[in-house]
Amino acid sequence: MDMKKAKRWADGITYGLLALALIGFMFPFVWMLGTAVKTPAEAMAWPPKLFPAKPQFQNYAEIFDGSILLRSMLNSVIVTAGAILVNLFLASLAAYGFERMQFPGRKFWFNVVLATMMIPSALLIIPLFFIVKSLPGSAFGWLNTYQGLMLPYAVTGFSIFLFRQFLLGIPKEMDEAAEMDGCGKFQTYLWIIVPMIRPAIGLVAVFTFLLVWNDYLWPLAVSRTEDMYTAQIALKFFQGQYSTNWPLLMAGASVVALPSLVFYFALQRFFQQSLSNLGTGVK
Amino acid sequence: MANRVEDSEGQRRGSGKAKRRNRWQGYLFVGPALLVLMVTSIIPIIYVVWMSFHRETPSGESSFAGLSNFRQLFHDTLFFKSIGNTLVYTFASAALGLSAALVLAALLSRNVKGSKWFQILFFVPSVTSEVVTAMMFLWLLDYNFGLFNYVAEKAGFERVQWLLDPELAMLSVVLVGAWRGASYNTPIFLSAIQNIPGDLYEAASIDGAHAVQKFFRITVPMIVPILSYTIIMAFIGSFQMVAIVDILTNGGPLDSTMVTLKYIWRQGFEFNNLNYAATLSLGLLPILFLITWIQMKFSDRRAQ
Repeated sequence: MDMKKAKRWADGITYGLLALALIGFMFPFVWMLGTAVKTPAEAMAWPPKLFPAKPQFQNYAEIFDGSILLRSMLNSVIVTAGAILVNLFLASLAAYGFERMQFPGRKFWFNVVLATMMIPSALLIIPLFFIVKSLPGSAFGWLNTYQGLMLPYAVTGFSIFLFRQFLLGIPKEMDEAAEMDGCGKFQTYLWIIVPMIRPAIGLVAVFTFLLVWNDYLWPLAVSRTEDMYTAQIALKFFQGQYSTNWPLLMAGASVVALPSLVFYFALQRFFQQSLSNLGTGVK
Repeated sequence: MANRVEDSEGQRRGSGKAKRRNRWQGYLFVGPALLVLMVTSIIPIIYVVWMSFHRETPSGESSFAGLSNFRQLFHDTLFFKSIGNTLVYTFASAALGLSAALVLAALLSRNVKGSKWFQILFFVPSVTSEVVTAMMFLWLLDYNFGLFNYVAEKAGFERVQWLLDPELAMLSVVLVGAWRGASYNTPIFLSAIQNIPGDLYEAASIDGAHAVQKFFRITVPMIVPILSYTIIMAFIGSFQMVAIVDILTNGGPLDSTMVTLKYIWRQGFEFNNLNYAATLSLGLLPILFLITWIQMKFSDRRAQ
């Protein structure tokens, strides 16, 4: 009887604290959405109201109309989708090569891959900028191009590592059987391995999406004209363009946030899996 | 069956030429990825060293500069101040964010009804970009119409310049960093807690320990390895954080929120001293390697 009462108390406190945290995490988003459909006068009203009496949905039309938002969103979609596809293909192919094939220098190169995981990307912005500037193509190399925006994410040591970890758990007999049936190495990779590493493909896609869609510094360096801005960079420049027109700024911010949120809720399963892997140390 | 095995043996012996091709065939698979990593990681790390020993002449050519860039670095008080600022940001936001995450994970691990939904929603700030995060807080922290000042006034305090007061600006940036950190680390701690054997808690219950005692005597000690991992990741993350500062304070006021990466960026792209900016990146290297090295030490211990 006493235990039951204690548990009820504990549950009550737990709910109270969790609800408080939920408000803390969610309120900035709610406030953003509320402000996005206000008139500027309502946004500056004192005392402030959470939602306006009459939501101004035309704020969204206005933000798409008078700005680079639509173009920059499209740029972000192209760069993100391209980076995901290239990264998935190159990284899984390399992981297959490292894990299932013998060749001179295999160990050395795999250590190189591991070493690249330890180089903090912040250090590389300046030299990488120079390299991209001098790549063949135009007078400014790959600056201000989609391939330039994509390059640093085209393959990462982390995704090779992750695919390889996954391959370790797949019995070699599977591909040996395929090879006996006359499959070449590439066919074995494509028809046997790829279908079996689907969970890893999901994980790498999730990581790459968040990395590319949300990145700030690299696109800031590489995109030189407005028509090549990514969504994040466009949003940063709204700060100057709309200065204190808070409803339009918040409308813009909510549009730029939306794809990450949709992606997150749609791929719940993969997020839970990847984060709990971090927690148990199986990276 | 026996035939088949013989067949493949025969193939393996094959002609010398085919065998040689086979020996190098692996490079067809790992080569493309290695090529990209060369361009995006290996060459830049060599190039950043080369740049540090050169300067750009007015005609746009590079000339050898000896150690002059490094001499400049050692007299660059703002660079050292920016490292100090970054460390303050790191310690403060990690302390706040990680302890909040730990408490939230402990609460979630009680598995009350609806726990799953809390868990899903708590992670939302982590999938939101730094730019969007900074925009939301820019509005909340606005001096004239921001909600923070409204609440402060309601509670009987004076309005504060959250972002323009040199004493407060860093605190504001820290709060935003902690908000993100708490969200990101909660599920990591949660799964670590869920991996603690349940009989430890049962034994404690029999001994009459209450929830708070169990938290400090069992949960905290049991997740020390994961705690060290998250602290190190927080360090590495902090040195790469720049968008939040860019939008909230632009490094000001009076350089009070000038973090290292922001300063490197300013030297490189705003003042156009790309060679000097490369030198500063290199100057950061010992710190970052030290952090990575500590992390590897810890993960080695964990693996054993």
